[in-house]
Amino acid sequence: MPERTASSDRTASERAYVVRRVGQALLVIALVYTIVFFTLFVLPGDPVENKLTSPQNPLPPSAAEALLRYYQLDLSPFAQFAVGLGRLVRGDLGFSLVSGKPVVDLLAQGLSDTVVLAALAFVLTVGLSLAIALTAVFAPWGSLRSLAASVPVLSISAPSFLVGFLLLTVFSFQLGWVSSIRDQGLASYVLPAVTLAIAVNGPLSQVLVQGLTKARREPFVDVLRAKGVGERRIALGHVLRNGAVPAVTMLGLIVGELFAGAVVVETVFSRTGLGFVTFESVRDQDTPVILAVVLLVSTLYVLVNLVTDLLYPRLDPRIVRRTATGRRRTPKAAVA
Amino acid sequence: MSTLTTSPGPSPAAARRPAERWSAPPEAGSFRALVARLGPLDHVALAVVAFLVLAVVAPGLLTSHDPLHGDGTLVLQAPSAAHWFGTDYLGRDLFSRIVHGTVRTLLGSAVAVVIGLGVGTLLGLVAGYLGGVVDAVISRLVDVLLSIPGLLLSMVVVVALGFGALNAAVAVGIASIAAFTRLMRSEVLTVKDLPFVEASHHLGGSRAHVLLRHILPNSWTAVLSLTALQFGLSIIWISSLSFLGYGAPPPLPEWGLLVAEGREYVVSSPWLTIVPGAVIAASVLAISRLSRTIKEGSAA
Amino acid sequence: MNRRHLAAAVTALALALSGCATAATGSGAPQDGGTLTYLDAEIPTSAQVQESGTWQTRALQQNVTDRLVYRNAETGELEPWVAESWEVAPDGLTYTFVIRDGVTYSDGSALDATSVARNLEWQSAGDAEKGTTPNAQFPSGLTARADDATRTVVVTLTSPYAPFLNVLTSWSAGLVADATIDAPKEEQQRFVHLIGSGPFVVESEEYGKEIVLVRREGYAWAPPSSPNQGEAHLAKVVVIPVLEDSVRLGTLRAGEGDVIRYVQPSEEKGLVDAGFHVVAGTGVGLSNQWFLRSSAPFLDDVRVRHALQRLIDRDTIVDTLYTDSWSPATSVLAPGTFGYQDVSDEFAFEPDAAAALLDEAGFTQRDADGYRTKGGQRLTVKTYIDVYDNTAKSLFQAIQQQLKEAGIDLQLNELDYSTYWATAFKDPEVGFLRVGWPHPDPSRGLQQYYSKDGQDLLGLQGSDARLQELLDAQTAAVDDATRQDLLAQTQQHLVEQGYVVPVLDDSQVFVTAERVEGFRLTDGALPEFSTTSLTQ
Repeated sequence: MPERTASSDRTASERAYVVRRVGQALLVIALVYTIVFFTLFVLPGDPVENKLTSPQNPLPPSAAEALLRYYQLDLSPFAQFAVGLGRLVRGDLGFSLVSGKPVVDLLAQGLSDTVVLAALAFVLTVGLSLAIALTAVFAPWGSLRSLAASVPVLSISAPSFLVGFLLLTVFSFQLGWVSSIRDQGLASYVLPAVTLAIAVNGPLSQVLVQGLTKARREPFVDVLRAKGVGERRIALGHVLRNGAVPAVTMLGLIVGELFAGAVVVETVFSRTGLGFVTFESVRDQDTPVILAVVLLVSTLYVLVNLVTDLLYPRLDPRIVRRTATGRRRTPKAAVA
Repeated sequence: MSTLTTSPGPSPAAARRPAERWSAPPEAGSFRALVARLGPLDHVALAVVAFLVLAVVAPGLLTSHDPLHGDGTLVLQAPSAAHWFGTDYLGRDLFSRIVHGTVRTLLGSAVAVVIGLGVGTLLGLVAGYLGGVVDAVISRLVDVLLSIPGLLLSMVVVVALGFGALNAAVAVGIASIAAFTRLMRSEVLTVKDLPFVEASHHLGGSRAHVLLRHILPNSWTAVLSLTALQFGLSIIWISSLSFLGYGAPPPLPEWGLLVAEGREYVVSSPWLTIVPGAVIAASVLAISRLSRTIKEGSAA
Repeated sequence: MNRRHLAAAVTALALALSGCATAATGSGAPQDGGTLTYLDAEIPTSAQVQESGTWQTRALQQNVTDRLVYRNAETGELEPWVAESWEVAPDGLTYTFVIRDGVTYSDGSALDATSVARNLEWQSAGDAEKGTTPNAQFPSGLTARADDATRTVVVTLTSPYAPFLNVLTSWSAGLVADATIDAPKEEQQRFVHLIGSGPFVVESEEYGKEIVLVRREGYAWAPPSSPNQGEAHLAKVVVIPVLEDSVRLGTLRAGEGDVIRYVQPSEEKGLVDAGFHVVAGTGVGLSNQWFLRSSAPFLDDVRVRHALQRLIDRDTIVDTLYTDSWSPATSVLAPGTFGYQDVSDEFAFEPDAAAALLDEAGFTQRDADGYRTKGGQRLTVKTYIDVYDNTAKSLFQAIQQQLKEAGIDLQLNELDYSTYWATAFKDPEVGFLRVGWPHPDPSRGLQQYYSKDGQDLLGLQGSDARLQELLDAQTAAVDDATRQDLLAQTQQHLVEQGYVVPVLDDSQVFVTAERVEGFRLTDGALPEFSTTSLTQ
């Protein structure tokens, strides 16, 4: 019986933790919406009205009038915000100020393309980062190790529009392996995904290099070695498993960066996914679309982070101990 | 655990470092120790940075060509002895444009870093030191900023402020606030509990005094490292914004703009794109390298 | 008495299309079939007839619909098309069109007199129920009566409207089927719902990705002067927007694209050397020009305006930055346009005369940077770089250099594509902006820019009574000679008063692959796919 009480205490505290984390995640999403809404909609000079009434706006006047009514710009900013929030809850993200199309449709259309691109780029990013980190930590030659260790910084430093263009020049224009304009299914995703992976892998690679380096110095490696376990098995089986765990917390960040990086990459590769929708909406100052894109990407980030945070203790048992004792270390975080 | 403490930030430097390193005496991160540790790559990086500084302070020493006024008869010339990086579509010397563009480019990054560093560090100090509700509010704000990828956040700010070089820099600065806040907050939290800080508290040091006397000197290497890294990242971000057409207007030679302009001529004159792109990469690489050296040094 | 008005409506001046108007035509009959890949620089937006206007949209409308009247791009003459013939009453109030027999829309419905009458009234009145505004080129209050038995349409106007026939040649005057007129507005905006009688039919459309045109089976009503009187040679045209200049060019060079629009002048030579053809055309309408706003700082002084006109070395600019596809402007109108008159003597490059004018205006001092000053104020003119022209960046910077030599500080600002119009045109500090594009009728174009009832770009609000009178009188001048005379006086006046600085005769530049033949441009410099074929 006493044991049961103890474990139910623990599940209760775990449940409280989960509830608190979910609450935090929702709060962050709500704050993102609020802050971006007020940044974009309530600027001096009525950006939405200006946009809709501009003679250069391709939107026909009739549709513009309908949108003016829809956005109720005569209301106070807070009333507008309340209206917008009410619609958001019902899944209504408003309409594009340029095409008049529902924002939900634009996002759905863009996402269907970009999800594939991001997924492929994600796989490539993880593969690339692992390769870089393993080389940087375990390569037998010192010069190769330091070369690999500098790759993350190099990839952060290379403007992705330049990388994308170089890839296009070599593989599309010179070798003709893949079309630069036509949709050839999965093959068309490869070059943009490689460009994205190069742009995004830097932070992950670096954390992996740090993690592996640290794990390699742990006492258990000496123990394994003393037991006669081969270096390869130590590296791939044990060090990697231990050293890669901290990198899991980067997933949210990577997902967010992949979607943001798509803006530049899709421009270079003439793709029409979410990045293109974003690029167009920023160029046209199409505020409802920008708001929706930001909300979508940050929601993705928050969700992935929430999931990794909740799963993290299961991946790394040391974390549980650390949370138990670690409260002292990060007391303010616990309050927050 | 909140997002704040578990997930590493957009920059590796912001990743949480073990508290144990603070057991080392603070002098380990001193400037002299830093210089002693420089390797050959660091020297190359230093040379690049020195070149950048020279280009900012005295561009006239590096090139005698006018960056704004071209020779109409020498349009789109390939790199040569007279024009090291070739000439652009108006016959302007590209090397000169890059050298003279350094000020504007680095100034943009500096504005961004000053905003990020200033606002971010202040928020982090306040959050870490005061704790409680203040910390909770600031932490959520940081979560919000972190949840929007930097480039996307910059684009939102640029839409709000309007297009232009300064606005792009401010946008990038705002996007980098979170990284500094998070770093500073964790620095404060780790340092706050160190015995000598607590001791100084007990000895009756005022809050501000303790803060200035102990926390800031203890954190400077970490902050400096992040500052250098963010400086490099700002160059990339601002150039991305310029690439997308949200940055500086011509004819002022900003690096990102140079790359963006060059794209239209890339088939006949690839140097117009590749050279400024390589200069951006080399500068960021050099600055990041130094940032890493600073950090590793202090962690050793 | 009614007067036969066929073809005489336009000046006899040959349309001076700069460069070659068609790609090299090979020997023998054009090959049948094949798919042409056309890479545009922008994304086609809305297909709604009255409210569309972007260049990339026009190109599609041009090839999917037919018009009543055709303007021959080479001669500038008006020719019959869907209207077999027409008569204009001397009072300019009644137009009688005889409609060609046997023309059908791609949905099978007849393009008969009834349909034409409905189209014309729809264009003139818009559609209040759907909130569609009238076509700004059309006269308002137009009524059209159809008689299908005699295939005639009698159009009655409430007041004379001299630009009418020219307007009927316009891309926006394309005739559409009832199905399009009756469709809800949302559908009208989609290209697949643009049902015309043209040589091509929109098969599919994916926004931002591609629009596929297939040839219209049984097409047999091309303008009589067209070299292709039957169906189009091409089986398919795939229109793909590729916004990145470098990618568009690389794709063409890699052999994946057949035709691209927009290329930097500097790239033209390399392409020609590599076997590609450059096809460029100046559309009829207004030349690439700046309007000088007298309300802006320093420009209230006519001497400063005159100096600005004389300080641009157009020949050098064309020589260094452009190619043979471009030429210096010679008037407010483009050569070949109805009523065009060469007034280039009024704004020839005369730096000495300009310097004297500036001295006379009091800008005698120079500041540390070498700019002229008066009373300590630097002679500064503000502008925004044109966003619609891909060569504007280099053009504006080159002019900035030239003006600097004369001591004028030209401040360049940049805006993005969407905010440009709203911001630049509202900025009271702005001295000038670039305007001037192809236009179906010069009078309408000038009125829209410079009349107090139009955009009043000069900000005169009618204070120049003479200009206003010249512009107003053109609408009613149904007699060609009278209207030509009025247009000549208008061009002279605009330049003499220092209101306008003509810069270049703009070109639309296309590059075609070697296997493309017969690719030519319309009077508005739009691509005409019906005469194009592929060899292989």
